[in-house]
Amino acid sequence: MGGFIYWSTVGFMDKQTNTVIETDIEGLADVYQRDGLGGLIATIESRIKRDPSRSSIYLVADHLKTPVVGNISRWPNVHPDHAGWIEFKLREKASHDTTQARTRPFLLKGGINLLVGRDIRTLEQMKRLVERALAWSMAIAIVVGVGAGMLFTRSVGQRLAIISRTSQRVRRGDLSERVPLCESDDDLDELAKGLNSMLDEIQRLLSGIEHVADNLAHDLRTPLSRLRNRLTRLRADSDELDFDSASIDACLADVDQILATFAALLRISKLEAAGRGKTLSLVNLREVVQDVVDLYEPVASERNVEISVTLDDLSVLGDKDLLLQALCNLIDNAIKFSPDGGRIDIDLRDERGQTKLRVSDHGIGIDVADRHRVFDRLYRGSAAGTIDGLGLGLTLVKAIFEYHTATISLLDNYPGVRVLIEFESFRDAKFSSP
Amino acid sequence: MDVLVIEDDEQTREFLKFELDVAGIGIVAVESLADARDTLAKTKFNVVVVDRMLPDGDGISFVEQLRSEGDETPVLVLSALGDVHHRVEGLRAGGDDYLVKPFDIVELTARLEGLVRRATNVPTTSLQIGDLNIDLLTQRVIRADQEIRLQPKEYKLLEYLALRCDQVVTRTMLLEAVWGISFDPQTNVVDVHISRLRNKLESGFKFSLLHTVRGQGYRLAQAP
Repeated sequence: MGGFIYWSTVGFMDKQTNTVIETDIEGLADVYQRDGLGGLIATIESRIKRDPSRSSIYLVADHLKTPVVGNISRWPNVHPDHAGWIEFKLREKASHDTTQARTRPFLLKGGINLLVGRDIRTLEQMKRLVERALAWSMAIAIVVGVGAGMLFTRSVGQRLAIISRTSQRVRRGDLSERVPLCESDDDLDELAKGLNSMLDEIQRLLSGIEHVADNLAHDLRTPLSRLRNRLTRLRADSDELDFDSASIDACLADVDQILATFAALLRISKLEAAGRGKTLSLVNLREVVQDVVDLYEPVASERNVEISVTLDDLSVLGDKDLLLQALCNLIDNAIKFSPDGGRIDIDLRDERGQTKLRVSDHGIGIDVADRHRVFDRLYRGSAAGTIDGLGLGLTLVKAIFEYHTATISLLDNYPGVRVLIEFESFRDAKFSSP
Repeated sequence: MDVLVIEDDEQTREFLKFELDVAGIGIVAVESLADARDTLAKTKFNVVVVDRMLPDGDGISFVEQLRSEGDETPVLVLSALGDVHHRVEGLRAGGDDYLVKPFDIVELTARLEGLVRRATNVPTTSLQIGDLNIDLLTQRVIRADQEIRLQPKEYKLLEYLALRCDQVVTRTMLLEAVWGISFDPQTNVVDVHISRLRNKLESGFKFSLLHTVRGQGYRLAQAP
């Protein structure tokens, strides 16, 4: 752009000057041809008289370049450039002003040297002016461009950050969050509106699931309740009716197991669908672990299994009842899979701002192949064999810890299993206030 | 004991009528909250059993209304909704106990007896069961002049059983009251704790006090 301006203004002026000089030379050559040297000298003299500021430069010289007539003192001591132009500095005798001259030499018939030119000081001044103006305008353009770019980026960046923050809060389970709109009706606002309507839909679906789960609870538990009642009545009658109550006891046990499985499945579904924010309180993890250890200690000591605990005083935001259940599950498992006389280790500590809980046993371990699948519903490992268990325990445990935004992983304890639970650090968790 | 049962499911109602009758408990069963209010206007009951999901309302709001009217009759809330926050809701509304359907009839009767007993209990500072003395203030346990040292949870367990002495106490009740656990751990943890407690209370003594009631739970009593 700058180049164009330069070319179109200064360049044009340059060309104009050259054309004027060339036309002048042609005119003077004509005069020489028509009127000879006398005519030429007379024309030039009159021109010089008419131009006291010496905006035009004239010099007629002989074949030795000795001046004959003109308004400069001598032939310039400068070689012509590749296009035939001679530029030189001209000094005003009186004021000692220096000016720039652009001239063209011409050889007339008879060995007469003609030099015609223009004072291009004004032109040069113009050039400098345009150059400077261009430089300034380019600088301004750059600054404005960068500044605007920065402003634009910042504004976009800010709005994207807002969207990102909102989605973070939603991810932590606060489904009531929505992206604030800028009221500018631009693309970002469209994006925000789209996200918000998606969140509306998700919230609607999830509350639908809760409703389904609650109704399912009622619908399935009522007939199961009846079944159980009938079996209880039958068992009471078995003495009178003289038949073996053992098979009825077995039926009752089966019904109870169906109920327990059903209850756990329901709980898992609800946990997976639920957002946080419900019944959350600050739970002292150390107390929870200690309570569960106290509960299971006699069970462990029956088989001479030692429970070793190292617990830091740490708390998390969550549901105490769910955490109790998860821990009962893990510790029960650890004891179950420990050999008699073995030891289980429970470790709760803070590692660089992150709360970590480890429950380890030295038992039969879990095959690497099984490790990913143990969290699947109703899965029981190949080594489980004769050990009792529904196979739902770990699925529920995983759902509970995920509800608490913690990750759970199974590692090899060489031998045995180490369960590692990592809670999100408080630093990173920014919960929206209730 | 007279119980008012508010339950819309007919089979459950009939079942309860039969079973509670067998247990020697007087029962009146109604289908709706409206019928319940009518009945309560005319008769007094020792305890009320109310289902949450009723045709003419939520049992919870019924309990709230009862309490706001100054009626302190113990209430047991029955419900298929088993989450802890449902339970907390029920207890906060003024319910005294919360049982999830389907329930074991033994569980229900044990809790009903517990509720009635609690309502009629005279505040006391010590309990005596046979030659076992429990000082509720100092938490010292003495049997026939011999002090028995118990760990905190063991004491809590004994105290709960002693406050309901002669009554059946279920494992679920113990898990809730002593360990704050409202789910089924699927392991016989309670049994193991009871064995330990029993050992401490009875080894070296002639009579057993802590009895296992088969299929139901435990009972602290002089006679089994």
